[in-house]
Amino acid sequence: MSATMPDLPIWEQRAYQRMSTAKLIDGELRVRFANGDDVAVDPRRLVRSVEQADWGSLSLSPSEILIPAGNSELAVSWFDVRAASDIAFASYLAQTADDESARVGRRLRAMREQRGMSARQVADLAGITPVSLSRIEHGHHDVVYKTLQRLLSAMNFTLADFASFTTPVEPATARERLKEAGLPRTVIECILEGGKAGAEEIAGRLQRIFGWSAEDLVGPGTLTLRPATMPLRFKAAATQAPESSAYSQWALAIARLVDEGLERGPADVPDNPLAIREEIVAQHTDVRFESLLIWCWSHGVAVVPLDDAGNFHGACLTTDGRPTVVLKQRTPSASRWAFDLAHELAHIARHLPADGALIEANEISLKMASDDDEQEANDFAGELLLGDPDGMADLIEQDCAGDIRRLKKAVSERSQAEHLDSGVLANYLAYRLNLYGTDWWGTAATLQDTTIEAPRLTYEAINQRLVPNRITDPDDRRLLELALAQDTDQGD
Amino acid sequence: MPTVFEQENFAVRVYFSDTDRHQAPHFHVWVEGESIASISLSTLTPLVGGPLPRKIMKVLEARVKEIWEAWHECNDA
Repeated sequence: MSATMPDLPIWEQRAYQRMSTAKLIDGELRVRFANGDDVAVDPRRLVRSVEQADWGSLSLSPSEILIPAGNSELAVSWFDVRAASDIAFASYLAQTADDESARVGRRLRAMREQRGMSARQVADLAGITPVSLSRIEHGHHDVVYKTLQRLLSAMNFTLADFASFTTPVEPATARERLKEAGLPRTVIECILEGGKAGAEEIAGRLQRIFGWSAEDLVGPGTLTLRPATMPLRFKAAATQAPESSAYSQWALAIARLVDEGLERGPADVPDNPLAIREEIVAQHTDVRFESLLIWCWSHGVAVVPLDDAGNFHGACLTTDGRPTVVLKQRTPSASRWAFDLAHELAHIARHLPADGALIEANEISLKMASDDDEQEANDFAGELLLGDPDGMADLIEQDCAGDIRRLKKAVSERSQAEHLDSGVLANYLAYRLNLYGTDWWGTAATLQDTTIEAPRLTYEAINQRLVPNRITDPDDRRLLELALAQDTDQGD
Repeated sequence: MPTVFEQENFAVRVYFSDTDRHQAPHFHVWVEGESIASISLSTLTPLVGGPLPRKIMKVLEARVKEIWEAWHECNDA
């Protein structure tokens, strides 16, 4: 799996967080975690009154250690055991503390500006120097609880106001920053609703999808993506597609909303592509995009179309065994849509855990498979769509008696006779010829099936099945509606 | 017990944190007997886990003063 990139930080993994044993041995608290890590921590770093603690009587749950101490009880979280024993986690927390100071400073400043107060006025009323306030507003100083209270009180705000405050972001700033983050225009306009979305809606959407606060947006720093909260693999080296990451989070967020908005249970996608093919042929005579799409929906596989620009070619996601495929094809060729969908079904059947996601950062193509899984998914797609691709290719070579000038006609006739998608068959022939140094891709392109409107069918299928009221957050409902409104103007 | 409050299906808990370590003041959200997210107190940004459903966020925003006070008692007082 050389071309894959696990993107899940270890501390987001449940096994990293769950404690399985804890004991005080030779003055050290020794904890074993569910992932097998054994750590030892000085207990004075974990509880305040260590002398009163009866460590011999401690009790343990996966997230917490409870230690009797006189008439009370001391509690230690998994989080603090890890922070005291894992340098990488401690460094991450130190970085988030710096980020948080910057956010707090920007938010305080925005609130002060909303009140129309000068820095001196607020500093005087809060009993701190203007220099200290300036340092706080610039994120150079951590704000302690008492100071935060005094500052808010000076501006006639409460802690609850501070927690829920949305720092205003000008649409032009939002557009610029989201563009810098690599998002295509269509996605930016969807999030901003072409400038009609309010500041709170924009801030909420960015927080939920990317983990960015309004303060991150108005600040000078680079927007960094929140770590994925599930095993995530990229089917391309990250350096090949740096701009795909923000878009990947967008695509996965849409896929998760689709999952929330559908009534379905876990799917059972057969491991054998010929079994799927047999089922489809029994009902529809041939396996084309339309019949494959119907099979997917009837077997609990959701198919989400996206039509933005950018270096992202599809994804599949499973949530508690419920699979969702994201297709992003800008070509109307149903043959290409069919191949991509069949390819993603292979990943669902063979490569994804019950909860996981896989992003196609490279084009899904027979021309080149970036690793063994991609090759396997291509082979799976070939068998699903063509049955016996090599047997069919041999027959066609016989049909045209080895004369490549007769190949196009032979593919056309054979695909008609065998009820095959001519585009998929032509692509397979082009792939075979390419192995022998002959470039037939140009001719294959002329045989693509464009009689089926694959994008329209995919949008219709999903919009017919979604139950928007299942999505609890009204703004998520709105966002999904915007994302699934087919964009007929595909310019970027 | 470090529980600040329980509401509907979740609980908020705070712990003593070693002041030698550079960390944002934070609390933990528990669901069904396990910590599911660690959240910064000032801006309610997830540090680990999350993002949390909007319904939970609304409760946290409304009751943030209680959480701050519990955190202060646990760490500064």
